[in-house]
Formats: sequence, C-alpha cells, structure tokens
Amino acid sequence: MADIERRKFVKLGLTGAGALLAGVASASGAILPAVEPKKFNIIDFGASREGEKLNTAAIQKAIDACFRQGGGQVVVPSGIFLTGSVVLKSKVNLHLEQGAILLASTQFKDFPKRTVRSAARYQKYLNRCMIYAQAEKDISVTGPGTLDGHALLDGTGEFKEQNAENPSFIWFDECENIVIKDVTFRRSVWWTQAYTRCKHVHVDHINITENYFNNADGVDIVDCDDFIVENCSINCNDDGICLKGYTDAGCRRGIIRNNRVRTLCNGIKMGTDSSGGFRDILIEDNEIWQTAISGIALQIVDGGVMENIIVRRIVMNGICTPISMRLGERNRLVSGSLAVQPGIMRNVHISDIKATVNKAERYNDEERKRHNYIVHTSSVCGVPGSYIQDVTIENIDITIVAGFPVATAEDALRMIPEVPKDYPENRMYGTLPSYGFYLRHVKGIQMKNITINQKQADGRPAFMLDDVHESDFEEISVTNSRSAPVFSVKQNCSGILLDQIV
Amino acid sequence: MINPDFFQRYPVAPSFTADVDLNIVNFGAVGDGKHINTSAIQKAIDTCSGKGGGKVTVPKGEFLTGTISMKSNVHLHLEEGGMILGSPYMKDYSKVYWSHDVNHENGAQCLVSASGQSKMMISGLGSINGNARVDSTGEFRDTGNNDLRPPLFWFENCTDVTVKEVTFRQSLMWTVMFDNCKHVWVDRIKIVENYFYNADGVDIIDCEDFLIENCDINTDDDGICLKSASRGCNRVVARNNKVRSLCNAFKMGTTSSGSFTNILIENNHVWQTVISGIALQIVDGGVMDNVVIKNMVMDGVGTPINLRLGDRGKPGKMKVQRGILRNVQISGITATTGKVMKYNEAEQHHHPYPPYPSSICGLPGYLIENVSIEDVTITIVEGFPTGTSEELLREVSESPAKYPENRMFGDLPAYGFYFRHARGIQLKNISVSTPKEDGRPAFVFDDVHNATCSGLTGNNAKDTSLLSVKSGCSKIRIG
Repeated sequence: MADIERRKFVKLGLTGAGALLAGVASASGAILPAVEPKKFNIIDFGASREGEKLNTAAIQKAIDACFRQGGGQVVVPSGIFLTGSVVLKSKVNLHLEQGAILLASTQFKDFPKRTVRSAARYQKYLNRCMIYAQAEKDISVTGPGTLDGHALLDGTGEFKEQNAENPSFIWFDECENIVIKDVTFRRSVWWTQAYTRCKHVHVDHINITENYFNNADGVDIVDCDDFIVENCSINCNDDGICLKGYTDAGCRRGIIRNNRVRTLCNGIKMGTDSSGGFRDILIEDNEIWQTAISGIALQIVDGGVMENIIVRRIVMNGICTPISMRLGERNRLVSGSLAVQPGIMRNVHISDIKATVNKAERYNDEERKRHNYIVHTSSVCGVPGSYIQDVTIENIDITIVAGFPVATAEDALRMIPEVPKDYPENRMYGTLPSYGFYLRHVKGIQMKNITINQKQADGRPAFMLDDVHESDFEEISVTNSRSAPVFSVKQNCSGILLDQIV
Repeated sequence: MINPDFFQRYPVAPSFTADVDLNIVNFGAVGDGKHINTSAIQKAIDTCSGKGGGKVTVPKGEFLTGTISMKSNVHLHLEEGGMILGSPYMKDYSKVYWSHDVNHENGAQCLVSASGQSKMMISGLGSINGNARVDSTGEFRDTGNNDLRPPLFWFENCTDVTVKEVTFRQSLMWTVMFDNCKHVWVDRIKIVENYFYNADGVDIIDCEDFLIENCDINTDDDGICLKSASRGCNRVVARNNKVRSLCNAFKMGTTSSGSFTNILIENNHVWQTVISGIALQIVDGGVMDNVVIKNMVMDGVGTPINLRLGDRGKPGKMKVQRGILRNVQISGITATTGKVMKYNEAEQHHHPYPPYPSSICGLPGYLIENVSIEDVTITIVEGFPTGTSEELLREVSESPAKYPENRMFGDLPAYGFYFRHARGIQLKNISVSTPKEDGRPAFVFDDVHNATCSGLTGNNAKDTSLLSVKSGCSKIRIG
C-alpha cells in the first residue's frame, strides 16, 4: 500500500517537473528578444570608466531612458564603473559586455534602503542592493561582464561581515519574467542575489566567485514560483543555491540543474526560513564540491510544508554531509496569515547521489578563517510527534574518505538531543550514533541500493533507526574495517523491512 | 502445534500377574548395607521372570549389590526404606554387552541393567543409590572420566517400561538411561544428591514414544537429556517436571548424529541451573525437526535458550551433510538469568560458569531454520556479566567443531539474544530486562534471513538499540 503510494508520487513528481520546465523555458524566451534590441550605452548617459567617479545616476538615467522608450538593452561596456544602487525597470535588459565591471561603492550612503510594497519578514535580511526592482516585468541582467561587490577583506570599507544591512547585488521583489544570464558575481558583501515573491525566474550560466564574506550566499530564491537555476558555477562562503520561504507563498515549481556549486556552508538548501514551504522542486544533475556543511539540506522548521521534491543525479566531490533533512519546530513567526503549526515534510525523492565525504578543503587564508566544520552523518530527523513522511532515497553511493572524528562503539549509544527549536544544521546534534544515515521520527521511508564505504575504522552502525515506522531498506551494502552492525534499530520502531543487507 | 496424542502407542504401565510375588530376602538378600546381594537379587528376578513374570519386592533395608539385570515381565518394587545400594568396587559390576551403542561397543558396566527385555516396571518409595562418595572412599572417584564409573540404571533395546516413584541418588555417572527403547513411561521419580561429574538425570537415547512427567530432578550434569546416534528420538514428551542441574536442564545433544523429531516439552519448571535451561544441539550431522517447547519457568538459569547447529566432524550412522535443525517452537518462557545458587561444598567445586545470553547459531551455509520464539520474559539479575558497546563489534568465532555450550563463543554481542546463520525466525512478545547498564543491544542478527519480529522489548539502564543487524541479512521485518 505504502509502496504504491510512493511509486505514484514519483511518477506524478516527474510529470510535474516536466510541466514546470516547459513553463519557465518559454517565459525566458519571451524576455530576451530575438531581434536586435534598442541599446542605451551608459557612457552616453555620463558614465565614466574612471574608477573614482560614482556612476549611479548615469546608469539610472540609461535605465530610465530605456524604460521610457518601451524597453531595450542598457549596455555596460568594457571598463570599471563604480556604482551605488540603481532600480531596474520593466522590459529593460542590463547587459554587461565583455570586460565590463560594475564595481560596488564601499559606502552605505550609495545604497539607500529599499522598501517593498507589502511588508515581508525577509526585509530583515534584504534592504539594500546594487540592482533593485520592485513589481517590474520582463527584466534581465546579462552578458559576460562582472558585478563586483568590492568586499574588502582587510576590514577597510563600511561593509563589515555579517551585517544584514549590507547590500546584495540583485534584489528583485514581486517581479515577473526575470533572466539573469552569463554574468559573473564576485566579492559579495552579503547575499549575492535574492528573488523575493517573483514569478518566472531564470538564472542561467552565471558565475559566482571570491565570495569570502560570511553570509555571502550564492543564489537565494525566496517565495518564488516557476524558477530555474541552471548551468551556474557558484563558489561562495554561505549557502550556494538556497530556497527560502518567509511568507505564506513559499517556493513552488522550481528546477535547479546542471550547476556546479561549492560553498563553505550548504550546497543546495531549502530553508532555514521555511514558513511558506517548498513544493514541486526538481534538483538534478548538479555537482557539488568541497562543501563544508551539507550537499543537500532540506529543512522545514517554521511550520511550512515541503512536498514533492525530487533530487537526483548529484555528484558530491568532498562534502561534510551528503544529505541533511530536518523537520523542526523553530517556528520563527510568519508575518502573513499562516498560523504556525507543526510543519510537514513529505514526498521527497532522492536518487542517484554519488558522494565522497571529507572535511572540506579550504584553499586560502580567508577561507580558513571561516566555517571550520567537521564531517557529520547524513540525517533525516523530525521531532517527536512530527514525522518526516514518504521519503525515497535510492541509488546512493557514499564513500567516507576522512574527517570523521574517531567514532567508537560507545558513540552509538549517545543520547541525541531533540533540540526542536535549534537552528537546523548537520552538526546540530553533535556526533551521531551511526556513520551512514541517522533516521529519527520518520514514517514511510524507502531506502534502496545504498552503498556506504567507510574508509575510517568506525565503531558505529551504518544506519540507526529511532522512531522510524513503515519503512523499507533494501540492497544496503556497507564496508567498514570494523565489524559494526549495518543497522541498529531502537525499540520504538515498527513496520521495518531490512532486506539484502550486505 | 504438537500434542501428546502423537504417540503411536501412549506409554502406560504394563500389567503383571499377581500370582508371582517374590521378596529378595527370601533369596538370601541381607539389607545390612555390607553384605553383597548381587546374586540373591538376580536370582529373585530370574525366578520371577522364569515363572512368566510378577513382582519382586525389595523391602526396607540397604541391599548392597553389583550389577543386576532386569528381565521381561518383572515388576521390581522398592518398598519405603528399601534401597538398592551400589557396590563401591568395580569388581562387582559385570560388563554388559550392548547391541548397538557405538560409544560402548566393548561393553560397559552399570548397576541396574536390562537389554532386549519387555514389559517391566520399577516402582515404590524406595531408592536406588549409586553410592557415589564425595569423600573419596571406595574405588570410584569424581574424575570426569566416565568409562570408569557405572551408570545407575541402563535399559537398552527394551519396550514397555515404566519407572515410577523411585528415588535415585548419588549416581556415579549418568543416572537413568534409556537407549533404543520404546514405550517408556517415567513418572514421579526423584533424582537427588548427584554430585559427581557426568551425573546426568535422565538420558533418553534413540527412544520412541517416551513420556517423562512429574519428576523432580536435581543433578550435577544435564537434567533431562535426549541423545541420538542411530534411529533417533521420536515422539518424546517431557512435562510437569521440576529440573535443576549444574549443567543444562533440558538438552538435546551432544551426541546428535541421529535425529530428534516430534518432541514436546511443556509445563516444566527449571531452577538454579548453571548452563542452559533449554539446549538444542545438532553437532554430529543429525536432524532435529518439529520440537515444541512451551510454558517453562526458569527460576535462575545461566542461559535461557541455546540452539546450536554445529559440526564436530564425528562420523555418525545417519550423518548427512552437516546437520539440520529446524521447526522449533518455543513459547511461554519466564526466566530469571544470573549467577546460580550452589548449595553445598560438593556443588561449589563443579561448573563455575558465568551466565551468558541466549543464542541461536548455525554455521555459514548451514542455517538453523524455522524457529519461533514467542511470549518470553527474561529478567536479568545479579551476576549476569554486562558487556560494553565494543562487544557488539567483536568477531564471534564460528568454531564449528567446538563442544556446543552457551559459553562456546565467549561474550556475545547482545545481552538478550544472538542469532547467527538462521533462516525463518519468528519472534513475538519477547522482553529482556537488565537492571544494569549494558552497552550491547538486546538482539543481534548476523546472517539472518526471513525474520519477523514483533513485540520485542529490551529494558536496559543504558539506552542501547533493540536490535542490531549485521551484514549478510535479508528480509528482516520488525513489526
């Protein structure tokens, strides 16, 4: 019965993914015109390549002119253009040509606070940015040029790390039909880009690099519908591609594919703010490398709903934790009408993951100053009374190369705190009692064809099941130089099938 | 579910003619404990048998004797205070030749023997005393070398035998032994003061249609023990017995090249028993099939349940490829397990074994099959060694040829049950509790297949797992 239900989901999920893929792709085609657009070169509006001069007004003039004439392309030619915050308008394509650099001012006064039309809790984290848009349609930022956040690592400049007042590069709020394509983002002082309550967002082939500041996320999709993030190369300090839900809306119908992500936090994440939930999300064919927290982090901790999630064909080369799923009860209050109640996390299908686990490499002193995290076990954890439900995890190949602290058999007896209100993260429980997967408060999980090769001598079992029900585990193959069990099952479990345990 | 109606012919007491009623005193027997009465008693038995059978009475008194042989149609009755007392000298025991027993092809001695006879009964409130002297007077010493000490009672190749009420005491070796017999009823016998090594209680070897009930057995070695080296034990019921042993209370084995089929053990009480309450062993290539054990209280036992399919590598008449151990149902067991009481000096010297967890262990490629264990409550008490979490990782040796016993593997990775090399396991309503902190899980499966578990609980002062499953398992269902 449960089997049939799960299979049905997988089919529906795939169909849904196909449908949403088509929708976003056509939207994206409409934004970028096939014919040569009208061009508005910022030089013509007074912009100067002298690094000292602030070009905010010139760029804004170009945008406004373009907008007034019914849209077109605002061209940033080769050169370094210092700028503060500009506002993008409907049907305007901001195009950065080869060699073009929009260099952020290092002063707050150049980035006025933006106020969104309808208040939302994400304003706590988003209020300044280089390119802002509110309720615009058909807007895009494209081209091989660069957006440089000018994060100063020597402590000079006004933008210090971990200040939520710092500007992002791009913040589009309540916009429709967005394309961000080809551009490079570097040295962000805050979240690199955030799309909040937008529809039809296409982030394609962008590059994010040198994001050393704490909180420098790669791509944040907040309460959006119909989005694709694809073909991107992201290397950043904080979460790589992150879906968030601060309002009732949450994120719906999204595809994250063919990206190459590396971060000192989570590779691809849903959460932490999750009151609006996440539905119909397809994450496929991504590569994650030398990432310091989780490769895939799926979190509902503020009472939202996560459902119909497909994660497949992910290669993780050097990850501290391949998969981390958490249904918690942080219950950060929602500003909208959604009453906070226990969250729901269900219908999550994860398949074809190949991961090597090790403590993430950090390549320079700036990285070594931050996020010195150790390896933790993959976990799927609800809280007492709130179960994560109907999860499929199959075709998983995890090789644990190094980086676990030496784990003894005694670690298998650690009492794991429930900490329902704690910030969700792979490390939130401390050392877990198993080295492969730790499952607690879960109903209806189906794990199949899982290979875990533990290269370190580990005294713990590969899997620990605690308050797990109606769940099947088949074709489980583990290697560990110590003769530890494959499964340890707590007394509070029921309806468990363990088959072909090798 | 087996019920005792499976007997081909229900074992009942044979009837004897009342016309012949002899008293050994009339044949010259003297009950002074000194005079040797072997020939007088034998003459009484032979006379009785010669007259077509009847009763031979042993009156009050201590009748010292060597080997006597029971004959067909004789009812030997021991009156209250009447005692058949074994001679302390080997010269008084004649060698008797057994038709089949591979272990005794050269013959062996015993006190009360019978070979190839039928319709016999031994009854009465008197006793048969092996005269085992713990003070080392007499020839027989408590050496452990069993061929030098005659068993108390050895019936071989007999049919229709009833032994009831009699007390057996101070056996030098095995106490009551039936070998290749049919239609045997053992009822209300007592076995006491059995302090010598190898002093089993009742040994049932390759017998058919055998009922043992209402007995009170307290003995050094195994209490009620089924063995098989030839045609097998078939249709055996042991019920309502009270058994205490410094070894195993109820055992099948060690000799197990034949078979044990259709065995019912029910409503028995085991107390202060050092090794296993239930020990089921196939280690010589034989077959164990269709065994039902239900309703047993174990009031102090080293190990509640011990099943072993091993391979000692001994040739047997029915040797198959390794052995087969299957279709065993165990239910309704309430056990306390821990350090066992020993009540006197003679007991203190023997069997200083610690308690061990229950185990169900076959061999790689030779799995124990279809075992159900249901409604079992095991309470661990003082003296049960706790294990650390590291014990769960210890490689447990296979030791196929090792003498099977609860302690053969050393410490086990579970505090309740260790299953290895088994297929078709049904576990239902089993509770294991320990008051101490034990780092091991309650149950461990290793190379276990098609197992269904429901209602399992492990109460441990340490929060360990209920069940740990090692690699090489399949179709494990936890209800």
